[in-house]
Amino acid sequence: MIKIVVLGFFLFILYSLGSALYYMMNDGAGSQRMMKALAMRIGASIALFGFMMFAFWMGWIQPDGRF
Amino acid sequence: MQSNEQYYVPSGSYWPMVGSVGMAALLGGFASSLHDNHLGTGIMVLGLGIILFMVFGWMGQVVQESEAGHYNLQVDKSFRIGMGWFIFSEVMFFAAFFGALFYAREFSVPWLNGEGNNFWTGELLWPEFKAAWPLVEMPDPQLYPSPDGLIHAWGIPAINTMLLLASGATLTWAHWALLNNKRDQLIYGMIATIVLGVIFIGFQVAEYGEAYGHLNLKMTSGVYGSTFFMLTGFHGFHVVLGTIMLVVILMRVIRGHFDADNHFGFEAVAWYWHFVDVVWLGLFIYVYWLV
Repeated sequence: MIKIVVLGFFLFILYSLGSALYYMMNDGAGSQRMMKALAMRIGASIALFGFMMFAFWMGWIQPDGRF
Repeated sequence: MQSNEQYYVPSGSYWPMVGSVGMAALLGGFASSLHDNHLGTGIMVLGLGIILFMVFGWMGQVVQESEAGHYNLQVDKSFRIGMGWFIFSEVMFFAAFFGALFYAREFSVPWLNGEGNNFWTGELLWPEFKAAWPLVEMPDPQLYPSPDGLIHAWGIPAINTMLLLASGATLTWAHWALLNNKRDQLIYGMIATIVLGVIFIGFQVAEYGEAYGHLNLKMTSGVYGSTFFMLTGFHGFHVVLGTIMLVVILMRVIRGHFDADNHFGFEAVAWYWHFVDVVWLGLFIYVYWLV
């Protein structure tokens, strides 16, 4: 279950990063959409890291692979 | 006629020739050094110097041309397409190394233990071997000495994750400032991002010192050691490169380059930094954590 949540977060991060690339390639200079996609990317990454710390604190995951 | 006016034709340049000479010297010198030719290393270093000279000179010329207003929208588009291909090659590069790690973890190491239809592989080659990841107990310890310990996720790797995430946030803050013409905030955000990147590199060097000096965890420590150092090492190299790129962009910002409507150099470097950050997050999860 935890693995699925982590994977879901990570896929969303890849999607945001990919969107930013698409906007950079197509929008031309000064793309607001690119900046917003990158902001979403960093927000989701911080949330994922926070979730992993929380899951560790709750004892749901151990850093030796025992998910 | 209209299309001729739009099509940008650059003037003749000697930089591609300089780059070719540098590449030839670098690779020729490297090949010679592998054959114990005492001149080889010197030629290799000379080649690297010529390439760095070429990068500095050529990029400097591009910046000058850009600031002089020689570039139109078509040139801007060509830069974006070039960046797209560069990113494609980077994604393939890291996909290959992550793929190698995945293959070793999920397939080849369990096969040595007899999983799947490989019962006799395990039984005949190393019957005592028990597959586990990280691969600390080798099938043949004579060939690949076992490390004394591993780098744990909640030490330097977690700190480095926080540093890179923070640097992504400061860079986004700077990006927002650029789009709103807030130059001071842009400069502070860039400086903070660079400082965080440099601290990351420092911690990574300390981690490698710990691995080699105290844990006996090396490139030669079996497939775990080789994939660990290949992935984290090339990522660290990308952080170094990204930091240099950020420093160049900061210099340009301080000189007054870029505005809210014209800053492709910033956008490309910012995206690259976010990409390197995401690769690290993948490493933290799959190399350090999910072991």
